[in-house]
Formats: sequence, C-alpha cells, structure tokens
Amino acid sequence: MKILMWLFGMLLSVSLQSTVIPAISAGGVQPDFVMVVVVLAALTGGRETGVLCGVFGGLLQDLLSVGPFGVHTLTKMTLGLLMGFYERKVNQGNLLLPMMAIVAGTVGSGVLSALFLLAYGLAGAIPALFLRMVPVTAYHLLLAAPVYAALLWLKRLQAPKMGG
Amino acid sequence: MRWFDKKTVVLCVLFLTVFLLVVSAARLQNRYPLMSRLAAAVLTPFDYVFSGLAGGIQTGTLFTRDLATVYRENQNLRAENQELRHVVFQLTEKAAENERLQAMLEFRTKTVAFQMKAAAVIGRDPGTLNHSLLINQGASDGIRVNMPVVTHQGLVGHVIEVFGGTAKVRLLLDANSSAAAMVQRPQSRAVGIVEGNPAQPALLRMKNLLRDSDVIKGDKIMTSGLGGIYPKGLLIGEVVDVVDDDGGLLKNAMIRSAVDFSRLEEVFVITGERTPVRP
Repeated sequence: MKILMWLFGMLLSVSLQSTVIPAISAGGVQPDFVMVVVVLAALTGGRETGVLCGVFGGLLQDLLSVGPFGVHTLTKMTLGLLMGFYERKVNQGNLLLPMMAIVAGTVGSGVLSALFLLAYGLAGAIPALFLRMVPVTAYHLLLAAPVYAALLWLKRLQAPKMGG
Repeated sequence: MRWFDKKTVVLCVLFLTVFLLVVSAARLQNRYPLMSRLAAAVLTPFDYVFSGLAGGIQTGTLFTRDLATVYRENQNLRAENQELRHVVFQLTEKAAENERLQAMLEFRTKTVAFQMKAAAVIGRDPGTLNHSLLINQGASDGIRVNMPVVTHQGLVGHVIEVFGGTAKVRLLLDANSSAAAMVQRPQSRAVGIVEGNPAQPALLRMKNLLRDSDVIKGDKIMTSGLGGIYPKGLLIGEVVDVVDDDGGLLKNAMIRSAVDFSRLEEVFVITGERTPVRP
C-alpha cells in the first residue's frame, strides 16, 4: 500500500512536470519538479523509497521524453539512493537540511546528467545545463518547502497505521 | 549507524542491476514503444486535468499583470474593481481565446495548399533537456509520424510518435530537430539547415551557410522543401544575428522563431497537400 502511494505520487509529479511546471517557468528556465520530489522523498522515507521514486519517476520521464533514454532514470535513481542515506540525519520539520539537499541535488543532478550525456556522445547539450543552474536551483528551493511539508504530512498520516 | 547492513547490500545490488539495464537499453537505443504508450495512456487523464490548471495559471498570470495596470490607473475605483475582476477575468480569457482561434481560422482559410487537422496542446516534455509537446489528435484521427505541425505564426515541428488518441511533437527548438531552410528574400535564396540551439534555447541556428552567402539581420527564413518532412514555404523565423563559423568556410545565422513556443495552445497538423508539388 505504501509503495503504491509513492508510485501514485510520482505519477502525479511527472504529470505536473509536463503540464503545470511549464506554465510557471520563466525565461526558458524550467525546474525539475520530479527531482525535487525524489530528493525529499528519499530524505523523509529513506533510501528504499528514494530509489523506488527515482527509478519510477525517472523511467516515466525517459519514456515520455524524446531525449536520450536513461538519463532521467539513472540520475534520479542515484540521487534517491544517495539522499536516502541521510534520512536519519534530518530533523523532521527543520527546513535547513532539506534545502541544502535540494541545492546539492540540483548540482548533483546537473553533474550526473552531464556525465551521462557525455557517455552518450551528446556533449553539445551540457553547457546549457550549467548555464541555467543558478535560476533552476532558486526555483527548486521555492518548490521544496511545500513539497517537503506535504511529504511530512503524508508520513505522519501513515505512522499510526504502520504499527511501528 | 550501520551503513553496510544486509538491506543496504540488497539495495546496492538492485541499484547496479537497474543501472546496467538502463545503460544497456540506452546503448541499444531501445525506446520501448509499448512501455511509452502505456505510460502515455496512464498519464493522459492526469495531463488533461493538470493542463486545465496550467492554463488557469497562465491566464491568471496575465490577468494579474493587467489588473496591476488597471489598479494604478484607477485607484479611486478600487471598490468597483473588486466586482469587475471576475468579469474581466472571464472576458480576458474569452477574448484571448477568440483572438487565437480567429487567427487560426484565417490561417486555415488562406492556406489552401495543405490539408490540416487542428489539435490542442495537452502536455509538454516532462524532461528538462528536450522540447516536445503532446497533442490531442492521434492515429485514430489520421495523424502519422513525420507530419509537419504549424500555427498561424509559422513552423512548430513534426510528429515523432503517435498513440491512439494523442501524438508527440518534436519542437523545432529541440537540439535533435532540423529542417532544410532558405532565405525568403528574392535576391538571396541562400539555403541551409535550421536546428535547435542548446547553448541559447530561445534561438534557432541556421548552419551550413557559405561564408559569402547573402544573409542579413531581418531576413525571413522559411522551409526549402528539401528535407523530405517539411513542405516548402513554411515560415520559420527571422535572422537576428550572423556569426562566422570557427572552421572558416561557413557561417551561422541565429534565428528568432516566428512561433512563441511558450504559449502554444492550439496547432495544426499538416496531413497532406491539396495541390501536389510538381517538379
């Protein structure tokens, strides 16, 4: 049930990424909402949740995108795993570490995407990734607070049913 | 904290397995069309719902700007404004829709050479590296792969994937997109290839222009009909800059697209030509 909830959440995230996010982008800078959700899901749910959300969200993006297959899956899966290791270090409710994780996740996502694009022989798209990094990070930080609040709320909602 | 417990090892093995599977799939350039179709089918209902919300946000943004101006000019009418906001909101949306549809209708009436099918944009590329659209016309409506997509402003792109009731369109802005093009000015008629420009995503680049080609700022660029996908004479955009290529023999023209890709809501898919082009 918990897994289905996460999968459904990622489904909604990818749909929002392709519909609502373009409407709030400005100057050609488009945030990666799915990445924000994966990073924060990993921090609140742990590495298993991070990898699950990363693989599913990234795979949907890859399947629906016309870009090189695998870039989103590999990037998000890696971020989900790495961020999941910090689950217990996060003081749930304090926004500082999640915000730092979003900054690290944005930079990490850029670096990982660049590495994968390089491996696929698509180096031409790499400069654009880094040129847009600062405004994209700002966008991600803006999105992080409501997403993190929603994830914490969902986690608290589940807690009594889990039975420890 | 135990970082390398049994759970972590299992997770890492799973991670590596998925990593290797995706890398091998990418190397084989396998696009998994069945899975793509399934994913599109699952997401389409959500996209429909959220595209309405996205339209509302865009309209709301425009409306807020308009209101700010009205507010400054009519401070003494604030109270009345409250009542009028709702009306203005609806009228603005209707007027914008009316204007858009009228322009599309005029374009369709004037463009007698092509058979066209109108489609609404219901989604955009969920990735951040590429530019594509999802439209609400698909195989069941006669849409096929490689059909050109246009608006009354000019060329938008071409269909790259078709599902039952929807189709995916690769925009001309995409780095992997290209179109055979030529300068419209009769004294020039220089030909080249227009493609997406990842370094400057807002502009297109016309490459393969000889150094002595007659291309100047302000030149209109249109399709040349040589590429096999796009028919001749579709407006692409206007030259905003001409730069020499590093190699020495060629130069590039930077083009501002005639189409405002950020505000695409309706498009036409060219499904055929009424008057076949004779050699």
